[in-house]
Amino acid sequence: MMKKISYLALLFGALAFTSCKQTQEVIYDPANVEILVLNDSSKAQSAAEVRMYDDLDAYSNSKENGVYEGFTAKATTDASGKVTFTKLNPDKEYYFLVEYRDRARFVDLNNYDNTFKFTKNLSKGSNSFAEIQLNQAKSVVGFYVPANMQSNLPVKLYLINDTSAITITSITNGVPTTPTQSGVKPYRFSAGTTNWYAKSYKGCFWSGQIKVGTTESFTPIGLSACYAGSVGFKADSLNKNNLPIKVTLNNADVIGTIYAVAKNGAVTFEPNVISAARDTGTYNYTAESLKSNCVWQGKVKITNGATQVIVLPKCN
Amino acid sequence: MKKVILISTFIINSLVGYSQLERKLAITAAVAMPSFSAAGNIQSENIYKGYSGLPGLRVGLQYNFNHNIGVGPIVSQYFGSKPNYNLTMTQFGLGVKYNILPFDKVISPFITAEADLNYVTVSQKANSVTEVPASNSDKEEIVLTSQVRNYPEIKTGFGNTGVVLGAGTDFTLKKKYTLFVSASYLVTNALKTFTSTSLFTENKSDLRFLILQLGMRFSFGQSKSLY
Repeated sequence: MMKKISYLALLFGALAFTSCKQTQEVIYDPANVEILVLNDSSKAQSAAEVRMYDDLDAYSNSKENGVYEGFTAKATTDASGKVTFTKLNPDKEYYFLVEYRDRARFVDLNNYDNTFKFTKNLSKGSNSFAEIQLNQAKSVVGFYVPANMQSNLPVKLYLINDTSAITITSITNGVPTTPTQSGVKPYRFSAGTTNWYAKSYKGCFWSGQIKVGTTESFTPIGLSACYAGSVGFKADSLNKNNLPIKVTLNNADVIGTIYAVAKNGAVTFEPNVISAARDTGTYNYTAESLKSNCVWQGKVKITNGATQVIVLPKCN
Repeated sequence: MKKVILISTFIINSLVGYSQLERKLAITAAVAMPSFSAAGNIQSENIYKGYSGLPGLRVGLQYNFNHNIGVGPIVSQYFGSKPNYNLTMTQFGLGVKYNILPFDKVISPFITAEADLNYVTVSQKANSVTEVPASNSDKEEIVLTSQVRNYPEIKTGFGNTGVVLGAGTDFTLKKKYTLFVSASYLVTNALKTFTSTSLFTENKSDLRFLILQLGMRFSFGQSKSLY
């Protein structure tokens, strides 16, 4: 009797032990994430730039200082507001920095404060579908024309690499303290540095640089003393291998660095044309390749109300 | 695992020896229905939950020290299945039973405790499931609207340990035949085993479930009463 029971027990266990061919290695599909970017009205936002980081420090540096580096991938949202990143590592945490410049409203949108982390629920072999909500940037810059410059109105103000303009048509008395003050044209900027220039119908030029952070702020910028003319420098495809190129006026006045070849016919203050407004006079310029030993030197004459672009010749 | 089988065989044969000393020995057989707790939204986090239990079997021997306390080996087999998953569990245990009233009363409630060596197999079919993770209160996290999880095929088996605690009642029908019902709760350390953690890296569930039993006990040999 007991022997039978023993055999039964043995059989009982053996069935379970042998019924399964064991898996040695588990192979998962790659993990992907598709993100829908929503604007501040919770509508799908096309043409928003999405940068993905797998390092918190790199992400924070980009966000706080507007540094354009350290990301593992970047993409721009399509017409339906979507963007996809592939082959994510489930063992890592990801951070997304999304920025969009709404040129119609003069407002930058970003996700600095919410929906920027993907540190939970990322799993092997998963296709995740997510949403990121954008909000208006907190830093407001108020451009204004002071009373003593009234004769220059109207003034058109441009951001570097942008074609849309803010037109200022009236003066502001004193230095504004709020963006809603009369004559002030407010622009909400995401963190980082933005170059701008302005010109009046009389040929007066202004240019400058704004640097803002991530916190709430208001910075008034008055278009007071203006320059007489402007000059720009650009590289064509012949100098592609010498980029980036730093441009300086009169040995000390660094006006910027050319990082990419400008399109044919590009004029001052357009994308990849390093430009500056200055008073009339003759200036010595030095363009120095930061990659090769090439150096370009010469003279440029700025005249009243005029603008000119210097194309750096091929460097041998 | 051969060792487990050999040890079990040894225990069973040892008790056969006791029966020859005319101590009271009983054999039990029961149908055992496992009841698993419900799984959450994510399959991979709930490897050991959400199964529909199938009737399993428990067979054991019981050596009674007196009319209240008995000990003996128990072998059990459980089955569970849910979409894309199958689970089996084979138990080799040593149990202690304490009858609050002497077991030869017509109705005798009891409590049990059991220590087990288990062998668990889990079979996961390759499949894709659209899952919605629980809403996140952390506003810094991106909002996941859905996730399509692609699960690869996994077949594995591994050993672990466990305990079973339970309570029930004996109904003595005739001198040698006893019907019993009981409810027990099984707890294992399957979650922490190397195989489980390496193959089911996202699993958060533990292998523990309720067992409802209906069984029969047959006593043979002459009881040598201690009273």
